[in-house]
Amino acid sequence: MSDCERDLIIVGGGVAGMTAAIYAARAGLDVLMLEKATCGGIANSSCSVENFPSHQAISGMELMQRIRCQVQSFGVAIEELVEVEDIDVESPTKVMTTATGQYAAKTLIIATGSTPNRLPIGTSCDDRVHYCALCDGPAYKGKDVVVVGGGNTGFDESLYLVTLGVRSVVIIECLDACRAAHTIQQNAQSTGKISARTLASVAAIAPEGDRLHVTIEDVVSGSTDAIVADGVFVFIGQRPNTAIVRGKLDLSQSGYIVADDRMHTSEPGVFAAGDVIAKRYRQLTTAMADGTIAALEAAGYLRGCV
Amino acid sequence: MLQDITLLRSETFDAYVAGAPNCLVLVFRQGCPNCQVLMAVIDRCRARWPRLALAGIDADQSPDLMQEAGVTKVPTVLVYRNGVPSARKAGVMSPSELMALVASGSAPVV
Repeated sequence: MSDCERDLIIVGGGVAGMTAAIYAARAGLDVLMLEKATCGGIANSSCSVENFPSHQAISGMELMQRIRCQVQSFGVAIEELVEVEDIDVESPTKVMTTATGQYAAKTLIIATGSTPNRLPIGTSCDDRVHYCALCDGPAYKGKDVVVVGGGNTGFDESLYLVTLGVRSVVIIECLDACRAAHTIQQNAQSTGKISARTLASVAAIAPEGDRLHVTIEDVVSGSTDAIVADGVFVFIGQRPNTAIVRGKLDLSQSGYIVADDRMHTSEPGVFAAGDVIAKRYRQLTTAMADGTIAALEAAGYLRGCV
Repeated sequence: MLQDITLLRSETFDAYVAGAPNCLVLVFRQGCPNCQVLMAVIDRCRARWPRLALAGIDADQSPDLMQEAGVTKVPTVLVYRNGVPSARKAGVMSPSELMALVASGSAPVV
């Protein structure tokens, strides 16, 4: 083992994991947080967070950095760029194996979050299919783009693209209505540059000169037409990061960790929080609530009170 | 994050990569979360590459250079050997993936 046995190891440094870390440290636990990339998780990619109480609008990365500073202020050990490859969840001492060593703890919180889904079609134009408007949006100033996904993220990112100077955005949504919050949809409409098509999906993306020929399929009739655009941005939900616990913890049919309302998983001493658990709403605020409960339950478990 | 790397522009790019037997160029954008992650990965790995020149292209400051290099996504890592492009990959990588990319595109650098 490269480390002593801790009270608690939190796997995943997104907002659920970081909130759990704050509560656990305040409860007097010796906490280590392991993050495979850098802290913040998927929220780092949010151009603007407008539904986080206390901030009217803040960039996702800035918000996550502030929370990380708060975690550090409580003396939580944070190890980034450490990917857990295997977990022993059955033994009283939980052991995590990484490329560089092993870590052990009496309790464990799995907060590994989720990964954005990829566009489920092959294309030779992958270099112009993007998953992060913050990263790749500026190259499309004065150009036309297609955004796949009519949820909050799809609309938020579309608004961000327009602020960058993108000429037009067509949002493609396969459901019969866009699921983004009403106010965001109104904001998008008021730009005059963002339109949405429902009951539609992207069937193919092919080069057309130096632009893209995006084939749009009507999901009801199967008929197709095309949009000529310069780039495609994809925001079609996420899949849970549960590979390391598959076969070890109970998972839902969709692959999310099954946790009860106190964030207990199917293994004693192992808790889960955030986007990785099976639940209806996946928001920063619900992830924080999960992290809070998981940390307090872990502390209770260690005291023998659970 | 990622201190002490040479920031390249159109007028300095060719001479820089030609002058280094092995060179890693990171194409990045300020405020790009995936770039932040990859910078941390490069920082973690750089001690293992004492003879690898590290440079960067700021996509916002040098869009022409980015286009010249055929880069459409950030972050992208370009590896050059004796001034010739030898490997490239876009997106976030783990330390082991980055080390494999560098190993595939360069003369021994450790």
